[in-house]
Amino acid sequence: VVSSSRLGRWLTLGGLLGLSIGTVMAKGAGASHATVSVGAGSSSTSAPTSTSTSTSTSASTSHGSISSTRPPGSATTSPPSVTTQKVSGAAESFPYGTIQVELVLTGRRISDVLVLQAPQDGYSAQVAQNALPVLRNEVLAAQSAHIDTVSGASYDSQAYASSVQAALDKAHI
Amino acid sequence: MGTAVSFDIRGVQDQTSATSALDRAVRWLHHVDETFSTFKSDSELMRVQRGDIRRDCWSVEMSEVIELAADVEEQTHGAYQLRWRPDGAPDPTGVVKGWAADRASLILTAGGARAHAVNAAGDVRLAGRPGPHRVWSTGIAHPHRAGVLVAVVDGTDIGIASSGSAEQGRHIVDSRSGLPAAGVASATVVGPSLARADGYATAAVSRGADARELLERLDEAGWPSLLVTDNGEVWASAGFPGQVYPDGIPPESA
Repeated sequence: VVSSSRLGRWLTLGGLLGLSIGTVMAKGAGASHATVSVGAGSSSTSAPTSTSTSTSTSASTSHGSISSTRPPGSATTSPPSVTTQKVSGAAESFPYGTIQVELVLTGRRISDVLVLQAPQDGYSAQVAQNALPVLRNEVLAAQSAHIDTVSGASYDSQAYASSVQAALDKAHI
Repeated sequence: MGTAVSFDIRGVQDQTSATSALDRAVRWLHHVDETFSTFKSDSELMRVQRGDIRRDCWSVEMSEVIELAADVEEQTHGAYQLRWRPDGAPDPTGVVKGWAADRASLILTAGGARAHAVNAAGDVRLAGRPGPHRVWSTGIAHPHRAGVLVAVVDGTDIGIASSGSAEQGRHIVDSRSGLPAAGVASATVVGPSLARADGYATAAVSRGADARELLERLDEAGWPSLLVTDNGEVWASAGFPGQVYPDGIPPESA
């Protein structure tokens, strides 16, 4: 039984080095929406192309801005969905470049995360690559009703780096 | 080194104060990055490594982290090395990430967001309860099989750190030979401090084929662990508090 007072899954990737990612996944709470935004600086979080609405807030700090989002209070009343959909975050600029990710949702389950745009120069690309394994771990956790989070060494960081590149290649075709 | 940290906060009563605590935790991480970045030539750590700052002028954070790293070195009989660099300068980066997440967790708790998981690039700090009648379930990623878990640990108010031989591009070196460590695909250490668990997991990787001896000793000291070798053997210490799946299990079946 899921308590109605629960916020759902309130997940913020507060990245170091000016990268921040805010996502909300109302995991197991009957809702089928997700918001992903990546960025820092004064960029705003835009509404995703999703089956339900989300509210979002953005808070500035001296080191950039942290985007955090949360589901609407009536999240549990959203209609369930069984189709596969892709939810794109806004392409947002931060001091090191522009990054955009996309979540693939199968029904209520997040089945994949894709990078649509990421910086390509050394330092910024490194930051983006380091963020991806974290997102992948969250995707793994989101596939199970029982697993909350995933611990793992970034042993296969090269594979993640390749997948970023593949996504980049695709995005530039 | 730049990395990403995720926060999963549950059971929030007061969203305004929780958001404010989260903002403070994220600002803290940015501060840690400014202080300990090895990418920014003017970070305090880079200045310490160049010998530009006298020891009695180090920040409180720098002193605390370097003391912690020195203690981890002592506890692991030198398997973790604070001064592995050829110039003998201290490099506490093996414990900074866990230490920063420990502190971020305290900031959240102090701000009223008591039930949370802080995941610092695969090193996890857990606090409170994610729901009624349950604690946090943490999957341990299988180092050889993408998208598969090798264990699940149920618990709270603990840190769970995993290290591999090629962590974020910097190869862990066996302090005895000076050569890149081999033999351990992934070492996971569980305990009351994520900073120390992080250091102990790194130490296990650096010990390579002899990691088990070190981990057995750490288990007796209250730091249980899980080891996956390069050739796929899975070993858990006597006190490992989780369910182990040597063949791996997809998360949806866990």
